[in-house]
Amino acid sequence: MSKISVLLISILIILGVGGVIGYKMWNKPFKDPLQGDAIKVTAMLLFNDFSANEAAAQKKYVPEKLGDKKVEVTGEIKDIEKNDDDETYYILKTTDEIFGVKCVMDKGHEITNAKIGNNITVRGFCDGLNSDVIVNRCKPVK
Amino acid sequence: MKKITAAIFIAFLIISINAIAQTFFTRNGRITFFSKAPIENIEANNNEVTSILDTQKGEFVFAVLIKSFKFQKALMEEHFNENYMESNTFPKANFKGTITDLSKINFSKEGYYPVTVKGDLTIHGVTKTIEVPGTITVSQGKINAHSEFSVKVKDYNIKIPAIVINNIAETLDITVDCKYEPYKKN
Repeated sequence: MSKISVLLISILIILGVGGVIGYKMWNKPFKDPLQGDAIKVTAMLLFNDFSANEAAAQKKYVPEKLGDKKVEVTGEIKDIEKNDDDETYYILKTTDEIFGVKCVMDKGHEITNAKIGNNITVRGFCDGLNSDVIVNRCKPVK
Repeated sequence: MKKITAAIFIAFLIISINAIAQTFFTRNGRITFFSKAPIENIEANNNEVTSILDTQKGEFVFAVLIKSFKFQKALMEEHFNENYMESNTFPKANFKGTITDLSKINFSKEGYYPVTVKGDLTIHGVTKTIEVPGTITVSQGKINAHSEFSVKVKDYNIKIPAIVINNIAETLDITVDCKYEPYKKN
């Protein structure tokens, strides 16, 4: 085999491997909140932590890198609604009269027969405090 | 004397109830941004926008968590938060503005009202005064607000690395949709 053929084959292999790695990176999936460890917390405590010291709570609960922290939130459903993307969300009760912990469910992972007053536990990724504490891409813990 | 005290109390109560009725709120406002660039189009949605509208003063306040923007691909969401918006350092964007032509709107009458809103938009720690067109729809005691406008990323000190300059537009198209309800304590 000539040197040119070896060089061409080497370039093709490098391009092929690079292409596969690039494709995999480009299409890497979102982290599954049910996989691995999560910070277990009640909705009351999560909300109170953010109300008391937002910066400290952000460091504790909000992922620094995409999906590197998960929260497992337990609380009583105060309200059930859907947003404009048809995602179901539950507002979990806190000590505040109006605001709570807003758990936005991953589509297809809603809690069957969930009702106001039910106690639920979900896992998701905390975005921070925006009147409510927002927990996104949630899945129920069975 | 007791009658006067009761009358003052009732008058105060009526004034308070009216003040509450002039305040509208949403926790489900939606902001979409769209980037059209030579290599790819990028779109992200945020359905966790909170906003308050004071119909008497014509004031709008919006608050947005940057991490609540959802992308189609995890890699896009990662780059958006970590490389461009630096959302650990600047976790929120917000806007506070006023309807410049408030007298055109009758919030107690159903209708569709084109408006202009002027105020301060803070993104990535940088505040700029903007003036944007929008519409307000009053229907069945609820108020819908809609606006479409553009922002230049360089105006907010958002740096796009040269290597991906063809992936992200210099100007982003922003769409805002909020469905307000009267603000009331449960």
